[in-house]
Amino acid sequence: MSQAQIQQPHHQQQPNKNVDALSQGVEDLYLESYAFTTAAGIVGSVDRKVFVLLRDGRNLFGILRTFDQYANLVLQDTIERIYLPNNRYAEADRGVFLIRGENVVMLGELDIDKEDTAIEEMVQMPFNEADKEWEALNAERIKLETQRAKKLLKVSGLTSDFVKSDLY
Amino acid sequence: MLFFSFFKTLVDQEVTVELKNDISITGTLKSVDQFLNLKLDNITCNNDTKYPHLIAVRNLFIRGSTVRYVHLKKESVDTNLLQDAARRGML
Amino acid sequence: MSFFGFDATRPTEEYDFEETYDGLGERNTDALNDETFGESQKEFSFAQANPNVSYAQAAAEPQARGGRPGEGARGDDLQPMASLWGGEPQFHPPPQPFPQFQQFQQPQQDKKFLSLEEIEAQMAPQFQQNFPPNFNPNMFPPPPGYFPPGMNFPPGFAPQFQHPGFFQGPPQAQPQQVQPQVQVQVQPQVQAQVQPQAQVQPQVQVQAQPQSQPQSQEIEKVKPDLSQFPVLGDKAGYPRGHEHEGVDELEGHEHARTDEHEEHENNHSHDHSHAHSHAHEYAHPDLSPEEQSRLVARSQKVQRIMKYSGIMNPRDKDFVTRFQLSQIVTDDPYNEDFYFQIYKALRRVYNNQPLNLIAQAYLEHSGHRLGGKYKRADVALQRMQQQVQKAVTVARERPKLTQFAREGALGKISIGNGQKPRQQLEITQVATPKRTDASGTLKPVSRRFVLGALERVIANILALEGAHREGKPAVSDDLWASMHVLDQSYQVNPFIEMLSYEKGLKMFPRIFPLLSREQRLTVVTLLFANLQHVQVVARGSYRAYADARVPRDVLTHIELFQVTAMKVLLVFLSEAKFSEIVGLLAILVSSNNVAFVSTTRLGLALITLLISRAELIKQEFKISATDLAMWSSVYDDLFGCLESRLAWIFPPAVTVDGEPVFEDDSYTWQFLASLALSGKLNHQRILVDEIRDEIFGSMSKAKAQGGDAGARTILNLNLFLNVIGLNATYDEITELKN
Repeated sequence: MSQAQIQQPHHQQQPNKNVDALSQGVEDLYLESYAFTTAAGIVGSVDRKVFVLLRDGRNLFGILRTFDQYANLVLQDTIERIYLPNNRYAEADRGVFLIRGENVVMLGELDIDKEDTAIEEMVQMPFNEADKEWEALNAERIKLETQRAKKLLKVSGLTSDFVKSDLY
Repeated sequence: MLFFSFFKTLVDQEVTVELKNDISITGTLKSVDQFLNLKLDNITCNNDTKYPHLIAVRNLFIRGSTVRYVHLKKESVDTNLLQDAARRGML
Repeated sequence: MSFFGFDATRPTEEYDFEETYDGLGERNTDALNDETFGESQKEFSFAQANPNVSYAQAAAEPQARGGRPGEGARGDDLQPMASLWGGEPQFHPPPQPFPQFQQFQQPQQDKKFLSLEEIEAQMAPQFQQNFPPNFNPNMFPPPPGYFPPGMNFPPGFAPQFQHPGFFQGPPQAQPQQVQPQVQVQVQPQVQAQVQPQAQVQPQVQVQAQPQSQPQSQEIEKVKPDLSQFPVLGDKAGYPRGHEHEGVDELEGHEHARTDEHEEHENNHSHDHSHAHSHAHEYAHPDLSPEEQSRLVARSQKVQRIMKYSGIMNPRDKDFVTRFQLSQIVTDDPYNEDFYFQIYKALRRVYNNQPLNLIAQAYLEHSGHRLGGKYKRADVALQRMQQQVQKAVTVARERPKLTQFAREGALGKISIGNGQKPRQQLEITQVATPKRTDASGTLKPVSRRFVLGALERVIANILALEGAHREGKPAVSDDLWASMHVLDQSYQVNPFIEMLSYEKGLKMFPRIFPLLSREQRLTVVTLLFANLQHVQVVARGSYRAYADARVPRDVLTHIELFQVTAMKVLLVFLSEAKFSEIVGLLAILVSSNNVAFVSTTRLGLALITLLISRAELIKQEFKISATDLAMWSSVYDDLFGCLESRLAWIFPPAVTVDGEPVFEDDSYTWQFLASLALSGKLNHQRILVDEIRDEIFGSMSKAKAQGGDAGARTILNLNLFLNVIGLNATYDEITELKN
């Protein structure tokens, strides 16, 4: 009768390699950790044009100047942009912004040659008007979501994770 | 540390990140940190109208707290090893 | 690229990061310390290189005496201390050239300190000549003070420049001491560079354009004439020779991660793009106005970006990185970072390449310039190692505070960290009272208990495997105890119960290599003794089901058993002694309801295993007479249990919706074959008698199936028939001819 070999548990298959890995030293292992810091993620975008999406739904465009370990950011020449349905948008100059990291949803580096292609096809409107409309849309959304949450709870006993301050 | 450890093995893999606002972004995972913030390269977004400027964005840093799901390929995960690792966390 | 004779190929950041960087809060107040003093942090090798004199002290004296800042030791004018400087100071250029200061100094032979006014007067006419058109005050990373301390500017200059931070008064106290040295250093350099710049200057003047921007116009009103100040809106200030670099810089915007230039060079060449765009315009006037305006817009954008570049210097970036590294550094990667380490180890390519790649990645990300193509990786690695070393030591020494209370404060704050986050809830385990069973009755086995015990076993397995991996000797006693193999105090043996969970079955192959031979034998014995209590075995009997069909999920469970435990048993039994095998069979027979076990797939398979193994050994090796007798006796016992119930091993025919479903019953035929093989003639006769119906049934089944399936059925049948010297075809049974 042919005998099958018992398979070693997978992570024991190469014991020698593991021992060698250990002898590599804690520090070397951590050299490889360099890539695993937020710093590595953001540092490449410093002194470049970026866009930031905030938790309250605002889109900010600016030049990233500094950041820290909490992803707090300093943006220069910041422009706040509002997008509205039917291909409309509005912009407002905001100057220098210090953004607290906890409010950031995402941060993207912009290609300055392409950054305006989106709005080229859109119609610009005055900011104050746009802002009012945007606020109205948000209020509507909040209302809708709270109603939905109530219903979910009452009917299915489920909770909703909608937070009024997270409108992104 | 478990999921940090896990995501480290996914660097250079393509993943789709679904945010809590239902928007999904596909890209190559380039970096992750202890808070599970993600850095993606070469991104595409499933919603063209919500953030029209995303077309000009090559790489994106996403704050971990805003992620709902990260969709992966089955082959990227060693589930048995993951089970073991999860157990270790309890030791 | 050469301006001021600046040697662009030399590394510029050779200061020792660790020594200079104390953390944000303790930043050196002299922010341009490094640029000023370069590598030699401690010694300034000036003209006389007089180590016994403290320049700082000498320069500080006037302040100590309450004199005007900037005063020399003599307190009245800015004449340098003759004692310090001697007669004819020979100037040695510092290792770190800092072109940005030079244009503000005069290219004069005498090294005397001049009063502010004198300098101002001198500067005005000089500006036109020695102001190198490539100058951009932003080319050096502006320090926090945003003003190079070496700048000795008359206050009158400051307001006229639109460039905000440029001429602020020196915010730090130190500059006063630094100034004298700086000035002296700088002058000869400027001189040396004036000549090479000479050819550039005519170009500058040629390219001077009427300014469209208010800034430069304002400047023109003011003495000195700073229209040559390219940064302030003069788009013409760039020699065409530098076009291409600028363009490449910009166009490679996306790919600028692999950019090797230091920040100020970066800015420098970005400014050149300015020139390029204009040069471009001149060169291609037939560019559509749209494209031209696009280019203009673009260059404006770039200019805006570059204007304040470098606010965050590499030091700051390194700080953030280091801080984060220190958070994720752990002493024990194998425990905290288990998944990643093992995953990597399983897939590692065994060479040094990974480290270089990492160094490259580091460079790319941090945008450092480490000068020289070939030095890059090494220096980067070195640096990273330093950083990491420091991070590791800091992490180790970091006090493990969990609570913090100040004196006089009204409470404590609890501090959590990444690895051990602060607990939101405090749950104390109420000790469950242990039921002491003095009466000796067997304790019931609850699901909770079994799962808990299983987890403990798994924990022990992981610990042992970890120890083996690290080469540490470890005993399996803990593991053995947690398995409860010898524990008789429960109604059902806990280990047997563990095998009814998939987790347990998966662990089975991992347990075996960690046990001693004796322990393994014990486990196997336990298994055979309790065979009918093993859930997966018991549930595999069709008799347990109303429709006489074993459900799907049980079948999957059975399969799992086969690939895990069965395999292990196979290997074990193949190395077991004859007596052990016979003994196991004996235990099986005596401890179980054999007839019931024979109705289960696994049970039957296991019996087959034992019998065939025994038979094999008997045929291959010499077996002692006593062993043979024992074997014979056990066989008889086994046969006796099965006799008159042999037909039951076949699950009844199943019809689904009127259609017969043929399941694989090869295991039954294998069993019968091995039983027949080990038996004597009368055994075989009884066998044939009892399963006659099944034999013919198989033949008709094969006929009904047809094709491959039918052939397989006949094959299975012949497994048995051949043993007793018969052979079957679809239609008849004949004697087996060899």
